[in-house]
Amino acid sequence: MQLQAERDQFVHSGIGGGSSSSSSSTTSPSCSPPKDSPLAHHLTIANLKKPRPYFKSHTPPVAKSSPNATTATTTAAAAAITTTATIVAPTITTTCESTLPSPRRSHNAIRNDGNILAATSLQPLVATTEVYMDICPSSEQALSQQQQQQQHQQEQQQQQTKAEAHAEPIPMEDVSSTPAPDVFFHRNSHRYNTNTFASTYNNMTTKATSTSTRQGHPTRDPARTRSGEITRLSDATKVFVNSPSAPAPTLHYPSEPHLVLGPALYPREPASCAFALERTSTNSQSTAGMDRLSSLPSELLFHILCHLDALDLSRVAQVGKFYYRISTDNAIWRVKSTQHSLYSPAHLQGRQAPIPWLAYYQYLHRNSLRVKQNWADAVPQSVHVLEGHTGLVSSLEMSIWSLVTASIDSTLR
Amino acid sequence: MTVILVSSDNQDFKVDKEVAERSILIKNMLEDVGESDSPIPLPNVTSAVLTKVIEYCEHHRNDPVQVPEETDDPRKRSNDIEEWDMKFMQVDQEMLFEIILAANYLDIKPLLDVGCKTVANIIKGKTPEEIRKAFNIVNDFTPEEEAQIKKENEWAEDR
Repeated sequence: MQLQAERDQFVHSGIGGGSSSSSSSTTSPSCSPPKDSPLAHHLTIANLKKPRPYFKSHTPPVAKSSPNATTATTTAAAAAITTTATIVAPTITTTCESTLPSPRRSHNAIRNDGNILAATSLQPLVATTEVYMDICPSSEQALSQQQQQQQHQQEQQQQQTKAEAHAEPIPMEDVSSTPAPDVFFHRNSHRYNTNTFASTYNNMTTKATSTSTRQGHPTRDPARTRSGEITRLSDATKVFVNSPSAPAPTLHYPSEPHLVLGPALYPREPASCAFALERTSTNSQSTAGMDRLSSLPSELLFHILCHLDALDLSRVAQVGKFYYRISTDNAIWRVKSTQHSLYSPAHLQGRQAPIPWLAYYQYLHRNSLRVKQNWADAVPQSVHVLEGHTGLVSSLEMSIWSLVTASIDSTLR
Repeated sequence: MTVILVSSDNQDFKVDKEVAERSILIKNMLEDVGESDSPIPLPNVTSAVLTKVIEYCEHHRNDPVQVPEETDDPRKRSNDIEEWDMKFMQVDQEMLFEIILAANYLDIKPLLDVGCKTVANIIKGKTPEEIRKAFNIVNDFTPEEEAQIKKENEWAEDR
């Protein structure tokens, strides 16, 4: 009953498919979840201030592919899929946002994950794997235009499926019950992306059934849930099957996702080999083009470049061939990435393949731009009401995935 | 106690042991050799550069040996060169690079750092063309390559 009530809340507040109420619901008091709800702790009004026209009708949106949106679009398909599959309780909002073909989408998905993750400790694993997955295809620029179009089509299908799914009541699922199957699927789909879908399907079904049985929600309709998820999952599989040109190493997914590697411990990383190699080749070139700077020992050049910021490095790269090679060296961007304010080793945990640090840095860069823009716009993508304290909140601590508050009611939450 | 350093052009420099030990190379050498009055040859350093290096070491003789700020604190960026060091580094580029090389050879980390920061500061805020000019770099890209790489690096321009 509570779940039913909460779903109604969603629908009425214009998130889950309500069309006309989305603007008025911004200030609607009905946004607050019921106090006695089990989910009241960690959710949940993701109210989209901007009206989302896609949900007014069930027709798929016209795929907008502005040039700089393409990478986000290729990757966000995967992000959207996993996000929806992961967190079903706030799914409706998450889904809505992440299916929008806008460059902000993957970021939003991550944000939503992050916010929700404050509540459950298991999910960072899932979220962070996704985060990294995002940047791989874009960095390698592996997907051709054609493949991107295919993905657009898939997204549209996906969109349609979801829209249909929204028309029907979607069973609410306890947040904590979902991560396990999702992680499982996630790994399988990438490592064995040529596998037939049937095996994944079977795995998922078993898991989904077992979790649903365990949780035993009366309002749940497992068949509906499964079919909804599976449609998305099959899309995910297709995405990866359709990108055979993506280099295998960067899409290789770890068998030990729980292993956290510190930045210094990446064993197979091609560190500053560019430096060592280029050094010899440059020396063998005619000295006519040699300047004082490039004749410095490579470790000193590295030292110097580490003092530069991304903009300066990108300009150094445009100076000449030698400078292009040294300033796009993986080792430098590893340093820059770890210096970045949004850097979190959790993003990279469990990854065994070499890390394209430049691509990772670009990802951080894009995200920080979005964060900056969001602050400037002062338009939150979502508002989450955290409840639980009975007294005033006296202090607050934050880390990447969690937010701890202390209250005069003598509790920490 | 003084140490005698001999530059590559055979000039002797008499410096206090304390000053000379700013250089980890010399410090280790002295520790290995023990008490000895024999001059230390520095075949990679010319007298002009050695003069500068000694000047730096004299000025920083009282600094703590291992400065804890050298733990690669990401917040510590290049603008934080001390005023004296900044002035000290106002030399022509040839000398600047020589000092960096000498600091590297002699293992004087703070000096090496200051030198690298100075070079980085020269690069900072410059366009590729300005960087080429500043360091006398020849552009060996074809126009197509240049356009391609410019495009590749556009992401860094928006901020």
